[in-house]
Amino acid sequence: MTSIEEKLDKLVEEGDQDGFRRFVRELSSEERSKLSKRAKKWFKKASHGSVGPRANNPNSYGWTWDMGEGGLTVATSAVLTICSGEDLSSIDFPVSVSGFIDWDLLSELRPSGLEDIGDVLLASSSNFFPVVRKLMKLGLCRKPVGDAYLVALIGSPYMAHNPDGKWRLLRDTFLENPDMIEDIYRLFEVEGNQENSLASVDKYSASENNWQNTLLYLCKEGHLSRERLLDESLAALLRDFIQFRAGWFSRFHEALEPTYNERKEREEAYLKLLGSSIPPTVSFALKALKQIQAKMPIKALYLDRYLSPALAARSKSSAMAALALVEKTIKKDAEYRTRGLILAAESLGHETPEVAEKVVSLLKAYGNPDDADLTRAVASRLALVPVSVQASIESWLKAGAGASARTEPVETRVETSSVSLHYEFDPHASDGYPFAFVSPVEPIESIDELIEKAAYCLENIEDVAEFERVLDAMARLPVVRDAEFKKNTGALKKRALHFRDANHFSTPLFKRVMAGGLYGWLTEPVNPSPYPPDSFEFEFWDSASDLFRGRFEAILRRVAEDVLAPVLSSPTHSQGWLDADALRRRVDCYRELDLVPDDSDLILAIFRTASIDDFSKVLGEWVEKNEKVKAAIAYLKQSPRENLKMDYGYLVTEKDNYPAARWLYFSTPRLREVCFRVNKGYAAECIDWMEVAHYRLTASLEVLMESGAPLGEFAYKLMGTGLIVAEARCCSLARESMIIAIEEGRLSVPDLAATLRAFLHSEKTKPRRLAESLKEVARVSDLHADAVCQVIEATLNGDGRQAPRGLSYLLEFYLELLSQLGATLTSEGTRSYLASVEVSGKTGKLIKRLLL
Amino acid sequence: MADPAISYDYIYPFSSEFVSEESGGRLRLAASKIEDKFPYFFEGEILQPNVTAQMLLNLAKIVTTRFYYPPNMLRRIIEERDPVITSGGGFLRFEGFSVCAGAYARVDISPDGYRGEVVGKGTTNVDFNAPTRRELALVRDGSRLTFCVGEEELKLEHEGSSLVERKVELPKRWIKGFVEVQAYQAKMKPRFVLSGQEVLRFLRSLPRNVGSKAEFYVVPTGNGKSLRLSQRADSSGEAVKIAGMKRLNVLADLAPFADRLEVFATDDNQSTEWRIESKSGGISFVLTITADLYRGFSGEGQVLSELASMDGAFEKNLARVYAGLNWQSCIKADSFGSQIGSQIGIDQDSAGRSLATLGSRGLVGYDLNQGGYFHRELPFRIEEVESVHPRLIGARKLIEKGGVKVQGKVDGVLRAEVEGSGVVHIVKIGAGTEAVCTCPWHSKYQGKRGFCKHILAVLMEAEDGE
Repeated sequence: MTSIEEKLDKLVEEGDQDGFRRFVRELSSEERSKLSKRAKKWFKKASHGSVGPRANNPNSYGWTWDMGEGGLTVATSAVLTICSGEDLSSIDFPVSVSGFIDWDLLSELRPSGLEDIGDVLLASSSNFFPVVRKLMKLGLCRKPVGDAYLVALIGSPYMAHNPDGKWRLLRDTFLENPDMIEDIYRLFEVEGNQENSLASVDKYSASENNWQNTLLYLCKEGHLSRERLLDESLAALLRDFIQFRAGWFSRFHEALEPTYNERKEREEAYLKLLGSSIPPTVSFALKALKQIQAKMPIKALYLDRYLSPALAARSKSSAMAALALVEKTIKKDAEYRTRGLILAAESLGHETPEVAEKVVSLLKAYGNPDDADLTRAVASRLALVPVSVQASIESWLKAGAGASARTEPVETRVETSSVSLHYEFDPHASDGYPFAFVSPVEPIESIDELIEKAAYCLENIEDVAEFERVLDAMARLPVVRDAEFKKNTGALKKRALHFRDANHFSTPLFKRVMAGGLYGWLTEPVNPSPYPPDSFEFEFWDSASDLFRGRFEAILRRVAEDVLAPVLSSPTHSQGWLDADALRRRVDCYRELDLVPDDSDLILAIFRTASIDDFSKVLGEWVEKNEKVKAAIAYLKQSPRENLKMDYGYLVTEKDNYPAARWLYFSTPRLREVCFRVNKGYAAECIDWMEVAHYRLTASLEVLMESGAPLGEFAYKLMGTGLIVAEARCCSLARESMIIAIEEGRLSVPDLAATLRAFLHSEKTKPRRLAESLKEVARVSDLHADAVCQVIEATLNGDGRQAPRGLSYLLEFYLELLSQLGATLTSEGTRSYLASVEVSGKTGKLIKRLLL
Repeated sequence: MADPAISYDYIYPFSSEFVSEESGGRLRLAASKIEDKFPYFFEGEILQPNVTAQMLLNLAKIVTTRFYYPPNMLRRIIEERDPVITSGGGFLRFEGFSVCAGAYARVDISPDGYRGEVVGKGTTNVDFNAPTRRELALVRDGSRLTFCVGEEELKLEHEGSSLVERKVELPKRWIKGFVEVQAYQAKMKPRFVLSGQEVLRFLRSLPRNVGSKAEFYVVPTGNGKSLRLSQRADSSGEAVKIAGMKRLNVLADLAPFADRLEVFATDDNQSTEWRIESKSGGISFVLTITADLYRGFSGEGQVLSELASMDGAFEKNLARVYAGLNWQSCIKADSFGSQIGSQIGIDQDSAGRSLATLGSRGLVGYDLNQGGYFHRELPFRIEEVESVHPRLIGARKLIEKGGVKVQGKVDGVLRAEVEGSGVVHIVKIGAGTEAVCTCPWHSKYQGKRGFCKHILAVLMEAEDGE
């Protein structure tokens, strides 16, 4: 080691900044380059810290640097004055070093390595912006070229303070730094990120210090070009930034209050925005074009070139606004009528019938049904038109000569069923349930398969059926625990131990219980108490883990004593069902072996076994002497509505513990209705707020999909609520359960409608979501469409004086559905409901049409 | 653990740019240097400027997006990786992967999509910098879009361009994705086709903000003319399983331009491909995704058995087949086997296997629309990637240190003991590709993501033994 290296080490270790100043001034360029690596090493060490007792007051805790503040100051100075630009670019600078920069030293030495430090620092964090600006002002680094500088500038209002500590106005920063004015125009080119975007900064800034008002002020005072701001804000919108961030640019553009002439000059720029993938941007452009059009229609050439995307927009209002542009132009320009209407015909496929109706009104007002090009364009889209509008288009087409020839291709039109498939509830649909609808479970028959499946289950704990097979095999199959067995199971045992001892942050309790049980079985001799005493401290208790653990320990106790017997509650069929005969055989086996089953096993067997009502006859003294088991039987006998107290917590799980909830719900098939009752409340919580962590709700909806199962009061409540929850997968599961129930004739229309009606007239009303869900169900087949139609009719019943908000979504879909089915409103209950609704506007019009 | 990366230099003769002109615009894409030359691939006019621009932007979006963040990843690290372009057989193909390697995107421009000349053949990276992307977003139909990829040397000399060099650390998973995705594609079969308005309806019906673990099935509905999301696989086995919906949401931006949507999937639904064709044809966008959001193509291990089972004779065949490649845009295994194969003296089966192996080395890609491979030589040092495949390395290490004990066959099942970390893993390999191991990887994925290192080691050891 040379003397200069030793000297540097000493200075950093002692935190001697004065000494370092003297030292670095005397270094030659060769010496600096020689020390570069060492300086980096010291900086890496010194810029590391942790929370701990402070040096000056051991009783107080706070952030402390590993080498103290002095050491960090010297190390920071060392890298900034010694390292080359390339070396500096590889250093990870924590923002907190900003306070340890010796500015006087840097100003004096003006190290050449700092030239590009701006880009390096800002790539690491936007919070370096004040440091970079200071370096630029001192002429120590050039202006960063990357977008990181602009993103940091966007976030600078958060960092600007006056010396007195008060917030510094953004406008003052620009007025004092004219070189930054040009940067403002470049802000329109960057989207920003989660932390720093014009939209997010303005959302959380005081109005006098937000970007919009600052730019408006600077523009008003003549520091910024108004023309350029108008152009740049439109160009930014063309860049398809995400919706939240794009919104700032349209708001800013409008805040500039463009005059008619200014808008007219930018007509083509607005038209180009119609192709944006951001719906509010399209809507913004259409509003601007509407203002332009108030004095002069949009040129036909422009409409042809730019309007198509807006005509196909998902938003009804955008499509309608685009059609209004066409209408205005064809009103003034007769020559453009055919072309304009061919263009407008692109909206015929819009999912909202209102849009297609508008096209029809344009056709009727301005279209010539004898025009071959126009009729061809209209006829070719007939199949896509909402069914309720098809008749009026056909009548327009027929008004022209040679109509029959032209309308022939309409063979692709949606077939109306003419109520060929009528949905009817089948009271015998669930006859033979459950065993007519489930498949038998194939038991595991060899140790090799058992080991393979156990390893699989440990890694895939959501496969509850497979784990039940494993559990059953562990209890039944004889094992020779020799060296070969030890070798074959070594890997699995190690893995099981790993999961058993994992902490509760990384591994859910349910999985640790499974792992512990497996570990106990693999241990030689078998360990009947495989869970360390403190395993379950601080855990949220859930019944899945409890039931599972009880059964596991019972199995391990028997195996440890070389007693092999089937698990009493192992399912014999899919969906967790246990055949009563199988249970009786197992009970006989237990009696023969003089075994007493564990409480968990008995309780699960009760909740799984179909077609036994009197368990005391089958289980005898195991019930009589056991209060817990008696309680479980009593619980089963109660109706779900009566089970108000979850005394024994049979279905308690954490909301985000999907594997445990799944195992529990699929292991207690006789508690289906209780499960639905518990979860319909969770579902209601998910209507207004998308609570994706409600995994137990997902598990309960999976149970609801079970084929053949009769649907009770709470099943309908869960299904109805599921149809309007915000979370996509839960909603999809509810839709699917409705689809299956219709297919099998199990859906009772009045029962589902009762739930839907209750929601429709409550604060949680979501007619739009309900219409979307029902639309998806109706699309499956004509039978489903008919069932949905009946559900809507039964829902729109009773006293309707207070029309639910958004009822038009449901009515619009209902009208469409009736047209598709070739039916009319015949339900007296629905007619009287709709007649009693006091409402005007769109809903009123729809009601009138329905009541015609 | 940080993802291993290889240092790679992008060397461009100029910075890509979009120049606005009175009649429209000119997109000038810089192609990275290959073999001491700057490639000059294409000069012409794009017939559908808007849709081409949108598709290229979507590709760029995917290449710079991380759809999946591992639970312990606190910092968002996204480095830009430039897409790969292949020019050959009249096609221009732009390919790339998402940062997490779970989504592969490709834009294919066929001769119907342009008016101009494909000058050169080859594969390299194209500079797709942020300013170019920003300007490209402004392109709309109705304006003329001239387009060049690379430029002839005379022009470059005339302009006196200075080189644009960018050193990047390419994660190996990003590169490995290229060799894995084609293995899946070659196994895929068509499932559904939608056209016209139904494409728009379906893509717009896909939910946004869905939990990353949520799984859906895509099934036909309405007499098979449309598709819907379901929660159960239909009995026909046609249902396509998807998870990580946000990857599919990327297609919604292209919905207004789409005339046709084709869905392909492997039999076991481990990977699916979504191909969008533009209304006027000539340009298409392909999105291929893995079965789960957290799975990247790099870890799918579909080519491992190919890489592990190379022998001398096969290497010779491979060299012959490789010699028969000449930047064809479609090489079908059967016709290639009977035409070129007969010239170079190999049969159809060997030709097919050779093509699959060339795919595993990044020398061909797969185009499901054409039903064949296309010649594409990745510009990266693929042998380096191959040699650092963790499972393959692990398998070789196991063999080197004598950790594999093949115990022979019983009832047609080969049994072996392989050394693990403090334990012994039991590997059993039956007829065909049936193989099991007691390690956690195999237990978790059951062979769906390729063989574990223990099975690979046994396969290699057994082959050597033979």
